[in-house]
Amino acid sequence: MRGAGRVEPVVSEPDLRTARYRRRLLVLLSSATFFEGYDNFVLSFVLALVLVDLGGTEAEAGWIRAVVGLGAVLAFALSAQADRIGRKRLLLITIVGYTASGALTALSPNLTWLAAAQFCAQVFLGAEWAVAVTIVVEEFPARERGRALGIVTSMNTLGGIFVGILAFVGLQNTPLTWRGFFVVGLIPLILVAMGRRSMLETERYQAVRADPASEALDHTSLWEAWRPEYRRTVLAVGLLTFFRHAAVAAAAFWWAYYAQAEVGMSVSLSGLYLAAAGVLGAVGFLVAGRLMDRFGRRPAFIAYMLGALVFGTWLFQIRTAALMLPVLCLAIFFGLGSVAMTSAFSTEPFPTYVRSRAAAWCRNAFEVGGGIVGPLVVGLLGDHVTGPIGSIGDAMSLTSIALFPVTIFLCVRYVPETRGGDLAALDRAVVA
Amino acid sequence: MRRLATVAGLVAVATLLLPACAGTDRPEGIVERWLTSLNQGAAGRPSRYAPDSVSQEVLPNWRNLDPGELDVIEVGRGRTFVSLSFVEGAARVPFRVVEASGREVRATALLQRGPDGTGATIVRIEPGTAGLLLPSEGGPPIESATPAMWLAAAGAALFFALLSAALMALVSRHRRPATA
Repeated sequence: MRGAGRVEPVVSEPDLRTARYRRRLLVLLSSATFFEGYDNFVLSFVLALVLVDLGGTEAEAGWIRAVVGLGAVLAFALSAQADRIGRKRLLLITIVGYTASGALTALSPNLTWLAAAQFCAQVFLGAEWAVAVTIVVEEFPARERGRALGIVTSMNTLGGIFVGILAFVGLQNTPLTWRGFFVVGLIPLILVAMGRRSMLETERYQAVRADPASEALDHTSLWEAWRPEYRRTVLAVGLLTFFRHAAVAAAAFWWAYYAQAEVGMSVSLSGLYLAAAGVLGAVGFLVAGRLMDRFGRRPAFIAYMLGALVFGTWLFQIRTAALMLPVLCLAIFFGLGSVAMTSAFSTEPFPTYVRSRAAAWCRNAFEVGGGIVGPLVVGLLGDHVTGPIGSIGDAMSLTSIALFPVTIFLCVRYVPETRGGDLAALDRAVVA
Repeated sequence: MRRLATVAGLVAVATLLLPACAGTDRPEGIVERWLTSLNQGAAGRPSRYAPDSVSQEVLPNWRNLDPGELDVIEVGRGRTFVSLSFVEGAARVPFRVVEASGREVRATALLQRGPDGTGATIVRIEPGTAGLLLPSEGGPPIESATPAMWLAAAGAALFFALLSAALMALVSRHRRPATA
């Protein structure tokens, strides 16, 4: 297309990427996504304690959430840098940056400091997730890629559950109070110390950068992913990601409120349900990985979206606590588990030189947008005082009906199947 | 085509957001906000919804308690009525709260609209739920979606699918699409 030549795999260190190395890499990447899930959940969990300690109102808490949320949007620019500076370097930068932000949060003397520190944490966390997924796609053989994606993405949910476990054992009752939750977030520094020397740059990235023909390619522009060759896929995956995440984020955000305010469950029981269902639901990621490798990304995604439609709609119509747990497990299984497929959709169809930027568009631009719009719309529609529906449960069920079928439509019509895709061949085609 | 997509997008946003601007002011929601605010300890502002004497009846010494003292906050569908001892627009709303210690309060909040007919505040509470069932007792939820709303959700799915198709049509096809 542009330039000539062929991208060949780097042969200088072929023996370093053994099965053992990939297992260690999986541990490092899983740890990164684990703490991404941890930090995404921890602020909302301790916010009430923060307001009491540092002094603040509900309105100020709302502003903090908004400012911190903007960090995920800015993460778009950072995650896109993986195509320029490399996957390994960006991963290490994001882990160090996130850890430093967590330390600053723990030291917060006031709400402004806390908001600024958490804003920075979100910038690094958003980029960390994107680059971790890209590394998995590039370092694992095609036959194992789905399974590895399932494992790495499942850690995100387990990280969120870990916050609940720490609260259950009473971390907030220690002298550190809420600050203790952010001190725990310093653990990734140990991972950096472990992984810095042994981790390699991905084979595909090295191969592309070593090829003289790739110098003609644009490795820096954020808009490269919107070239005519890619924009159809970027838009299709982006829209699919937007609609899926709008529904899933709304359900995740509002379930506890629904259970407590509209079903009459206690805070402690709903918390216990969420932790139990989260652990069982995390199996959904692992099963998704297996299904992706066996049947393909698209059939697995369609099956998961049908499951999310059925159980996501039903979940918010349940009025008894006994039936809630099994349906919650299945809703999490299908709803959250499908992120393994969207991670594949947003990386595998694209050549290495632009992969991180395409993934950044799909995740940070579209998915983050869905994560803001979905909970907002359900809240507006279901508000018990002023909402036109007046029920969070019904508003959420209606949202599931309105959004999940669209993801199936987009997948069937526009998203390419990438099971067993040869990334090296894709790269060769770009420079041919 | 571009203009059509823009208009479609604006219609979608308006469809979703404009109904939310309608002012319904349900008394059940006001009771729920009051109890939630009460549950925030010193950070809460329940006085926006009820006098402090009423708040103290539900959660004595609430200002000095940690947030989350109430383990259960449940509000049922209320009943509006016209006269009795209140001006037009008053309402009774059943609720139940359970403290972390296990102490339970089941009561009915009595609300009264403001002089201009807008807004409502809790004027007092009465013990028991006066025959009004809470959701956990098999009572109705505060509000439910109408059949038309369920149909509208299916229509919204169709609309979003068509909107997506229109956006995809705007993206020009390339002779060599990016697939693995």
